[in-house]
Amino acid sequence: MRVLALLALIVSAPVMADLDIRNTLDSQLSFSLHEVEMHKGDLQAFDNVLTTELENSFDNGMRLFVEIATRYEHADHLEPGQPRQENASKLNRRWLMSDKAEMELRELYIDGYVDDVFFRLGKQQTVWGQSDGLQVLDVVNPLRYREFISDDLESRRIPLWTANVEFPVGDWMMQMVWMPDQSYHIYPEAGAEYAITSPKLAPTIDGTQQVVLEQEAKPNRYIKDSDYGFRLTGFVDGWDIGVSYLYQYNNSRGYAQQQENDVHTIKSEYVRTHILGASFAKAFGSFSLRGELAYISDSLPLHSPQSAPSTVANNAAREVKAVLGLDYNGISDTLLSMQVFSSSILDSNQYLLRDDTQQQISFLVKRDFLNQVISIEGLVVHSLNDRDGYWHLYANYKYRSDITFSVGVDTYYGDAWGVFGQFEDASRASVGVAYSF
Amino acid sequence: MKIKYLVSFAAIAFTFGSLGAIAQDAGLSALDIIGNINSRADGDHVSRSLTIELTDRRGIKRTEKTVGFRKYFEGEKRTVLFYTEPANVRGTGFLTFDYLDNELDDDQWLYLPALRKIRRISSSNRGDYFLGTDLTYEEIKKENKIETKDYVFALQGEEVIDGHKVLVVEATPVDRDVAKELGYSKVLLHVDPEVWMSRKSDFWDINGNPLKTVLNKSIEQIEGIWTTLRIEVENHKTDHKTVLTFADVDYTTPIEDDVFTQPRLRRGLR
Repeated sequence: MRVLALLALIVSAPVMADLDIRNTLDSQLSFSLHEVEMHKGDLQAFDNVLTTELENSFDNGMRLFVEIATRYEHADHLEPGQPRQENASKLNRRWLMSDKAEMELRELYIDGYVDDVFFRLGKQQTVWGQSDGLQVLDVVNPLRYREFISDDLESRRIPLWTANVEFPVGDWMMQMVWMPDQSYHIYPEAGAEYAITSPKLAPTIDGTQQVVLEQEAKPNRYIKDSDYGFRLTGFVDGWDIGVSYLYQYNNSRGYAQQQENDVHTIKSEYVRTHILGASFAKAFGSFSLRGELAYISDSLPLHSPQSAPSTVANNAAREVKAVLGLDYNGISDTLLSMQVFSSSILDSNQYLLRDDTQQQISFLVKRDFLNQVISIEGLVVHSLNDRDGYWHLYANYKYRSDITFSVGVDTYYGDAWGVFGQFEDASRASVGVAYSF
Repeated sequence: MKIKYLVSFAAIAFTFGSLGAIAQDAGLSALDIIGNINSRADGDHVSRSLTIELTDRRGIKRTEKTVGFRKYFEGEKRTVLFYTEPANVRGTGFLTFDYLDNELDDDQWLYLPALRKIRRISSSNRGDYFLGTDLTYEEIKKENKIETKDYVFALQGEEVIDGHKVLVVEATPVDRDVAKELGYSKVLLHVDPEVWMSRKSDFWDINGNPLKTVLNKSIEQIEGIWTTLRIEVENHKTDHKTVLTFADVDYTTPIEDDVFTQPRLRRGLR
């Protein structure tokens, strides 16, 4: 009955009842801090993004929202040439106008209410969890690692075509999502500034060997290969509580390596997984405590070629991920935040190319000055296993309501085989300006 | 000329003499006056739009637009504010549960559109300035009312402000910890007994220096409820100014309970 009511609502929506158009032009210049292929101080990127938002509210309470990002990146080191976009579904690909210019439909949805049921249908982002940056439950949408983690999460997250329905269940809120969009993490191709080279994340090949690649096609059946899940959230005795379930394809391909004589066979495919999650948050005096926990039934850690599995699925292992965060607000206009992240493979074996348990810590300091005209933040993410990491210093200056200037430094450190250390040469300094109109 | 001065003096003396009678005749103590402020009707619920103008010492102005809702529930007052303009704050939302039980800390959440996440905020930062304004989280939450347990009050006399007779009440934090938490060592309220609202409030920082002045302007009766439509704040230490202008104030149209929930904070004005 509610579905019929929803259809009636959509059909009855008058055209362009109240159209609002907003634009933001964001330009950023980034300079390399290391001398590699480019000379130190050379341009890493000159990124110009025009984000256009169209919002139309209808008389019946429904809303249409569209966000389009038009990008011109002059240096063309981040995604040299025209990337193949094979990890994105056909309905979720960017329009590549040239090597340097592209246009992307970031979001396109309608939303509204039928009684107390909220729905949002179309291309959108679904964000779960309580952590900042360190992702445990915020895995519904895949990410674009165009600048690894140097750009903000909002830009990295790839919106998916999603049916999102939310309705109250007693004092709790149930959110159900269905995503018939087979788009997965997008990594820069070889030769790009942030191309993955760590042997912990991607198979590495000895140049003397014959290599056989057996790559299964990406899932592409809209219904059968769709992802779905739910999240139940509530507020109990001062605690924000959430439990969730997600049935999805892992956002990255899994790999199985096999080495016989001088032949190195690499199989790859996407494998489904169940993810059970829980989250919480509560404030105590000047502190806020928050956390996430996830059980992943079929994680796909990389194994050495000696493991000789018959399929990628044979490498699947159970994994538990957790993050615990503590925020301190006891100093005026200042946020101090610390997070501890842990990932444990429950089905460990001798062929794993990563430690059974991996831990990272992060520290964030953020302070506002002059009535939030100036904000400065510093973030450090450090791997306790590999002793590599990332630090980020950033300041922005709200010159006017419509103009914001920014300056920042993103630095990776550690050995080249580490998750962060592999990008040491991609460390950069940047300046930017955003103008909205 | 001398006669003119004498007449003026007599007029002032008469005015103050009759004003003195306001509190004395009514038998009002400073605490009674604060009680009257806190019991001033402000409706079971209200919706309104709010424009915030922030002007720094160079005279550069930032203008932000918001839509806000407030509603009394059993045991608490809930307030939610949604930012609609400009682009760099659009989508930001602030939700607070202000419990009537003084033993309970308030619960506060801030939705940050850049993260698309709701951040739990500790309520101990009530003396911090609210999102770039010159009003603190506490003042935004209390809406011209005063937390009685935070201060000791003393009636200082009576004055005339903008042609309105006002009672001057000095509020001093009960101890140094509260003073540090609030950021004030003293507050001087100029309370208009016609509307039971302070028309002018002067604040001193914890070192005793003049900090800021808050003026409640354009106080009107809307649907029988005294409502300030313009608040001007000047910070004397930073020369920063904040002007809050309220419009579309509506005390009658019902507001659904779920407007004051985290899902709605995340969805924005949906």
